Amino acid sequence: MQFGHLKENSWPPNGSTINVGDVIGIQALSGNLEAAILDGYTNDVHSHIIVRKRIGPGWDTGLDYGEPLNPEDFLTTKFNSNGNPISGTDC
Amino acid sequence: MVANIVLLTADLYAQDKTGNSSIDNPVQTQPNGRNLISCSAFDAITYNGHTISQINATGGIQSSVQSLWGSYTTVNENDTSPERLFMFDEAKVAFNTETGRLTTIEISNYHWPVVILGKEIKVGDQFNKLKQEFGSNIKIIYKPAISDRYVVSFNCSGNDYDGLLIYFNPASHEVDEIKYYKIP
Repeated sequence: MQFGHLKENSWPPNGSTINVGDVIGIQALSGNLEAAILDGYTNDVHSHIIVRKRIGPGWDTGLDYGEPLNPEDFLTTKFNSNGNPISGTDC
Repeated sequence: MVANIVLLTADLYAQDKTGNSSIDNPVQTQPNGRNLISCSAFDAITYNGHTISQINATGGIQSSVQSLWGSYTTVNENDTSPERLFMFDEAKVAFNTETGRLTTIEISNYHWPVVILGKEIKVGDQFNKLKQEFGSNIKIIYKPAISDRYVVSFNCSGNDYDGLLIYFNPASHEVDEIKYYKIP
């Protein structure tokens, strides 16, 4: 699972075990997000989420991962407009 | 009497902390927004001598990129995203390795000029030069919550989510970065 536009090196090292409640990254304006906001293509700070099935032994996105999958199949928790989890959807 | 007039003139051209002649602050004087040009003119913009279509034609292949701009300092594959990043002394150029298309050019040195509508702009140019080249009503974008630098944006309507931003140092009013970017 990849997250785009995070603060550099704010994520755990490759191979880390992630537990519920762990911080897995800090939102930033990295990549082209700052330019996109300045230019008006988007008004919101956001993160891109990409999920791929691992098909190789390493961490190279070009060699060890397959085609992108639908992130919604893996992120089952839904949130209401206030940002609170909707009961019964928690993963 | 003559001496008094000379002194008065000198006062009008007071020096700021950087030694440059004082100029109006574009954040306060310029209209806000993007500067739209025709898409053919936008596509004709050159980055150190080459258009976006010429750069895309390299496919991000090392030998082809080198044939455009000469030897790069390093090239790296990003292990967390499909990106190949070429580092030159004066600029960074990134390609998406899945599409082979350009995603970013970041120019930080005056040796890499861009040519817009036949006008050459480079890092270190004063904002007043852009006013002279593109008109006194050239628009700027200033969003202090996002960046402390103001930018001049060139774009064309109906393009495919890319743009050219010229970043200005808010103290010296000099170009300190030129960036082409494309949204995936």
